[in-house]
Amino acid sequence: MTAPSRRAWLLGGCVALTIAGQVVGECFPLSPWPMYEAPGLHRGVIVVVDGDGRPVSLAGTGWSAARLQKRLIATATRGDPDPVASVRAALLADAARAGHSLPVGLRLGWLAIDVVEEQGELRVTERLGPLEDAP
Amino acid sequence: MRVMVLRLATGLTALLAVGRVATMAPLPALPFPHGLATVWPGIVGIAGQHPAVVAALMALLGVGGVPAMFRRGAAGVVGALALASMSALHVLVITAANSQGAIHHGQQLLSQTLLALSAMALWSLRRRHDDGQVEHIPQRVVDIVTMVIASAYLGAGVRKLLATGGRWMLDAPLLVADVVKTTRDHQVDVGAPVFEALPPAASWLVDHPGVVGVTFSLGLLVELVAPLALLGRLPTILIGALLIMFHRVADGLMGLGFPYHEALLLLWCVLLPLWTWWRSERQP
Repeated sequence: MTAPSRRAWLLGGCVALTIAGQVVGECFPLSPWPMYEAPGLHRGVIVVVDGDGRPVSLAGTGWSAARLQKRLIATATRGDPDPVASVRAALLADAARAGHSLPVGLRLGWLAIDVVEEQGELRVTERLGPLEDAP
Repeated sequence: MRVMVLRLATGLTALLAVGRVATMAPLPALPFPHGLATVWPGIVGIAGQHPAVVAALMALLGVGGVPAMFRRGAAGVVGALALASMSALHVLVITAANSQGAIHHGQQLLSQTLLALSAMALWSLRRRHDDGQVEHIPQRVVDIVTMVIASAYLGAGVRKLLATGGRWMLDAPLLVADVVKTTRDHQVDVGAPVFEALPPAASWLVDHPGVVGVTFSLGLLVELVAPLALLGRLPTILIGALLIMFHRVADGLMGLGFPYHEALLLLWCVLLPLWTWWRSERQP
């Protein structure tokens, strides 16, 4: 096979694989990338807050806010009617499996991070609220 | 290119997969079956429950199979089948990991590369293995792996455009929110007060969303032109290096690390082409 025809075959194969990935969607291992990767979509982070609404650490428990956030997005995008409840249940199950329990008074919160336009300039705002208010 | 170098590259790729599976915690159930787990939940479930056993099996298959790849006769058959089995095990166990309620994207390219290598090892068995033909096999394998890698990045770029109705570059400055999110995520993880001041670098970026937008727009451009890597050795090296840089920047700004992708890019798109270049320069 000549070099130009080999390159044409390879480019054709590359395009075919790309189309296959888009058609199949999120199906390991074919689809190579997140379907929800769009600027401005990840607008917050889940935190554990105490009775006064102050954020507290999750360090040392083996799971992180980032994992919970992924779970929330995953359940929400699967048509779960109550993704917050699913995440809460998953959190408790994770904690129980790791031998931890959420101390009384702690609850899940949502640190909303928004980009707003003010006088033609973008500005970042942060606001802590209940997980139920998460976008 | 020598077959031995190809086996070495394949061995390193297999080692990445074994290393990842070996460090996985057992997954007792498949609460959100994904991909093959919807078809064969039993097999995927067993793989997820025993990642250490799967890793040991993969290591055995790799040690036994990779040195036999692209050999003549029965040894070549054993090598190809061992690598194919190893690839299948990797797919099964990572499918179990992706069936826990969140889909991860750090292993797709590794699985795809292993599957492509297995397919090429099987394909090579049907060829007549006279001395002249054997020398042609390695470059074709490298071409196919490069094609798989290029399609993964082209697919990612196309997906970004489709998901945003073509507005990805216009909206890219909004990614500054991810810089804050990543910083807060990290602060929560390490037990720091969530509302403490942002580090200087993150703070500067928050004040300059345009810089974030331009940076990530350039990243999208690199993804979209990834197929240029198929045009020759120099384009492969350039695209490979740019994609590694793209991952480094994304990791720094968003905490979005893809170490396995970077390792594959370094191995297949930078080091191997550099090696063949060096070899061809030395030969008269």
